[in-house]
Amino acid sequence: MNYKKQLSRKKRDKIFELLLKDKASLISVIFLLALILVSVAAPFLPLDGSKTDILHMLESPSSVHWFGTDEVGRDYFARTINGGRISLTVGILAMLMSTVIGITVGMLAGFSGGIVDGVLMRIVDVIQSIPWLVLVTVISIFFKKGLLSIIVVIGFFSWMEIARLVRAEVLSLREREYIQYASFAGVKSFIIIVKHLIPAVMPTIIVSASSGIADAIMTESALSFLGIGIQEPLSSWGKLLQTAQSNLQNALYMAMIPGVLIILTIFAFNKIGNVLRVYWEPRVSEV
Amino acid sequence: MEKLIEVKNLKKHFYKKNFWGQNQGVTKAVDGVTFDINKGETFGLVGESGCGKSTLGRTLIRMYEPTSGKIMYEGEDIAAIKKNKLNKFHKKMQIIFQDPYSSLDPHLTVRDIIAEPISVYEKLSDTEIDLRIAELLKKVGLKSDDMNKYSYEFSGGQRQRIGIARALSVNPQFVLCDEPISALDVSIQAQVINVLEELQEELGLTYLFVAHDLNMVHHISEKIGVMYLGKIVEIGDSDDIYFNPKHPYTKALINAIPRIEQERVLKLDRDVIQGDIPSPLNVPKGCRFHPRCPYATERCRCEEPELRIDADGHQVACFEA
Amino acid sequence: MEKLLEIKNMSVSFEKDKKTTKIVRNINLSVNRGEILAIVGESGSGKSVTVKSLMSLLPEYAHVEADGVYFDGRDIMEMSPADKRKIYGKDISMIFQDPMTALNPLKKIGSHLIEVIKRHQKISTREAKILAVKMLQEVGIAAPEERMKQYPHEFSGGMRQRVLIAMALCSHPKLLIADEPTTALDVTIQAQILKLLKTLHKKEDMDIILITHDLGVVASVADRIAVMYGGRIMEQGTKEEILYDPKHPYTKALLKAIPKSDTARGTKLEAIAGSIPSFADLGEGCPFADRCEHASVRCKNANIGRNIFSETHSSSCVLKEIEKIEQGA
Repeated sequence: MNYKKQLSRKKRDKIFELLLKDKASLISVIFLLALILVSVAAPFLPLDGSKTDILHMLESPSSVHWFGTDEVGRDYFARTINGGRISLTVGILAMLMSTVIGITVGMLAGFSGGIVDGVLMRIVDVIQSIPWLVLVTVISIFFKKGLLSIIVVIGFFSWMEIARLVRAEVLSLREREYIQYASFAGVKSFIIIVKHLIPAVMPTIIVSASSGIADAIMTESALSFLGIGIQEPLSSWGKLLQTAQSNLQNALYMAMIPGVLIILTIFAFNKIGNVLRVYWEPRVSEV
Repeated sequence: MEKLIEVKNLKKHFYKKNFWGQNQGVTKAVDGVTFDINKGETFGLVGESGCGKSTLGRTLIRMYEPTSGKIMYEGEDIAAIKKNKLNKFHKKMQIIFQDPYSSLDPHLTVRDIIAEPISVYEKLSDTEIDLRIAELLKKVGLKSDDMNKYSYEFSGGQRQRIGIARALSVNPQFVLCDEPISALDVSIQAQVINVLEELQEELGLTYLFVAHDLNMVHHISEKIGVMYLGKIVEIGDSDDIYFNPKHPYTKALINAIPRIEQERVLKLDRDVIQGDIPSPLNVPKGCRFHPRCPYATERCRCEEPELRIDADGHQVACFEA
Repeated sequence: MEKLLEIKNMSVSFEKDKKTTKIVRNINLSVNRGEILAIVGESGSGKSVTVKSLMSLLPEYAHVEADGVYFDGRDIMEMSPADKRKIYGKDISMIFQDPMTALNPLKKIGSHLIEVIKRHQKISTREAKILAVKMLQEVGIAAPEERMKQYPHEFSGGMRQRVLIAMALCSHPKLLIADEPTTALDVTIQAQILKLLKTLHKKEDMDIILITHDLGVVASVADRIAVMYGGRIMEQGTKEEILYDPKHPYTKALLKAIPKSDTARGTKLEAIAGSIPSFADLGEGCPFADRCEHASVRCKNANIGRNIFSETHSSSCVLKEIEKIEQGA
C-alpha cells in the first residue's frame, strides 16, 4: 500500500537527518562499514598473514608492510585484518546470543510476574554474583579451545544485565493503559509481546546490544591476552596485543595498532547504538 | 426502562502480600456496591480521588477480577464467567481511558491501534478493516487519511477521539468512559463530550461515565451515583442529585464546585467542608463519612447506613437524610 | 491605584537548535496593591512562562525582553543577580501545582520550615521551631507539633499544599505567585485551599497572582482577570467584566463551552472547533484566528489594536463592535 511506502520514507529520512546532524556518528558508520567490508573481503584479497620472513622481522611500518612485520616477519597488516575478522565475529555473535537470551528471560520474568519472575531473577542473581572473569576462565579451561567455544562462553555469561533491564522496563510497561487495554481486549500474550513490548524496549536493547558487542570484543581480548582465548594460528586483536607485549620496547606499533582499532571499534558501536536509540524512541508529542 | 447491567454487592479488595504470601493489609477499593444501569442511558459515577470509582468501573467490565458480588449483563452473571470465555462480553463492553498519552501505543499507526480489537473478535480482510476504520475516524471527527499517522502526531483531544474510535471499532453496546475529559483543556472538553453524545444517540450506546467534574457529569448523565471510600452513598436522577442532594457528602461535593454563574459562585466563607479524605487502607467505623460530616450523631459513629430507596427512586445511605 | 508589579511590553522567546520560537508576545500586565490577579489560560497559552520569567525560573535558552518589569517601584530587569535573589523567595514567593516535587522526601516537614525561616531571620533553631509550629497552625494544619516530625509522604495532597503555602509565608512576601495550586486536588480540598489563600491575602496583606485554567476557581477568588491564549493577553478586566460581560470572541467561546447548572441536559455544548495551536506555528496575527467564528483577513495582520472598554477592561481583537481603537498598543 501507498502509505506504507510513505512511512518507510519518513523513517529513512529521519535516520539520515540524525546521522548528518552528528558528524561523529556519521564517521562511525563509515568506519564500521569499511571495517566490515574489509573483514568480509579479506579472504579474497592478496593478503597472507601466515608467511614468515626471517629477514624482515620486527620491521616498522613501510610502503611494503603498511603496518610493519611481527617477530617472525609476518605482514602485520594482514594479521590485523584477519584479527579484526575474528574480533568482530566474536563480538557480534556473542552479542546476538546474549541479547536473545537476555530478552527472552527478561520478557518472561517481567510479563508473567509472580513465581516465574521470582525464580528467573534469582537465577540471574546467582550467575551474576560469581565474578565473571573467574567463571569464564574456569569454564574455558574445560571447553575445547576454539572460536565457537569462546563465543558461547562469552555469550552465555553476559546476558544477565540485558535480562534485568528488559524486565524492569516490561514491569513499568505493563502498567501502561495501552498494554492493559490489549490484554483486556483479549489479545494473545505472544502478540502483546511482539507488537507492543518488544518495540517499546527496543531502545534499551539497542543500547545494551551495542555496548554488548564492545564488551564481547573486550572480553575476548582479555581472554586472549591471558592466553585462554583464541589460539594460534588464528589471531584476534586481543591476541595481537598479547604477542605485542613481549616486543613493547622495540616494536611499540605492534601494540598501538590493534589497541587503537579496538578503541575505535568500540567507540563506533556505542555511537551508532546511540543514534539507533534516538531513532527508535517515539517522540512524545509533535503537537 | 430496560436494565442492561445490574451490579449486586460488588467488592474489589486489593491485598498487599509479603514474600511468603501472607496478607499485610487490605485496600477495600470497592466495598459492596449495588446499582443498575439502564439500556441507552448514561450513568455518571462521581467521587474524589481514591474513592474507588475507576476501580469499580474496571471491575464491572472485568478488566480487574472482582473479589465477590454479581455483575448481571442482560441477565448473565459476568463475574462468574471463566477468564478465557470473556471475549464474547468484551466485544460488547469497551473502555475509553483518561490519559490520551499512555492509552495509545506510540509505536503503532492509528490504523494499527484501532485494528487491534477488531482482529481479536472478527476475521476481516485488510481492506475491510481499512474501510471500517476510515468510517470510524469520520464518525469521531477525524479524517480517514489520519489512519496512516502515529498517535504522537495528534493533540490530546484528537488522541481521545482515536481512543473513542478504538472502543467503537467492535460495535459495543456498553462503553466505560473512565475520566475521558479530565486530561483535556477546557476548550477541547466540550468537543469530546459532544462526540460522545452524538455517538450515543446514533448507536444507542450505554455509558458508565466516571469523572470528578460534577458539572460535566450532570450534563451528560441521566443518573448519577456518588461514591465515597468504596461505597455508593447516593444514587438518583441527575437533576435531583445536582439540585437537590440528600447525602451530606453529596451536598459538600456540589457546594465545592467552583461555578461561574454570578448567583452561584462558590462562597468560600461558608461552603467549605473540613477535613481530608481518609486512606482506603484505614476506613472509619460506622458511616464512612462521619469524621467529616457536620450532622454526625452517635449512631453514625458505630453503625453503617445502607442505601435506602425513597418514593421517587432516589437512594441515600444516611440515617439523617 | 498603586501598582505592586507592572510588566511593560514583555516578550519571551525560546532559542533551541538555532530556531527561535516566540512564546510570550508583548505582554502588559500589572498587579495592584491589595488584589488577587488571575491569569487564565489553557495549556500552551504561555501563562506559566509569563510568571516564571518574573522569578528567573526559565531555562537557559529563554530570552526575556521588556521595556521594564517594575516590582515595588524598582525595575527587576535592571537589577544585579544578587539583588534579584534578595527579592525572590523573600518579597516574591511561589507555590506550584505539585507540592510533592517542591518538598524533599527525605526531610521532615519541620526541617523544611525551619530552614526557610532561618534563611530569612537571624534566630536560633529553637525559636525557628516555635515559629514553624505557628506557621503550620496558621495554614490550618491540626496537631502541628506532631506533624512537624512527619515526612512529606505522610501528608495528603491538600496538606502538602498547605505546607508549601506555610513555607512561602515565612518571609512575609508582598506577592505570592500560585501556579495552578489546586489543579491536582479534589474539589472539596480545592475549596479549602482557595479559602486559605483568600484569608491569608487579607490577613497578611499579600497580593496574589493566581494562574489557573479553571474559570470557576477564578470566579470565587480573583479580583481581576487576564485571559491568555497563544502567548498573548486576549482580554483583561475585573472579574465582573470578564465573566459577565466578555468582549473577546475567545473569552466568550470559552465561557460558552463550559456547562452551566441551568443548561438543560441534552442540549449540545457549544464547543470551540479546532485545537490549540503550538507556539512554533503562530505568526504575528491573532493566535485565535483559526478557531474564531468572526475571523477575517485582518486578523492575520500584525498590528492588532487594543480596544479599551473601561478603565480596567481591554481586549485585543479587530472586531467591529469596538468602541474605541487605540492603534499600535
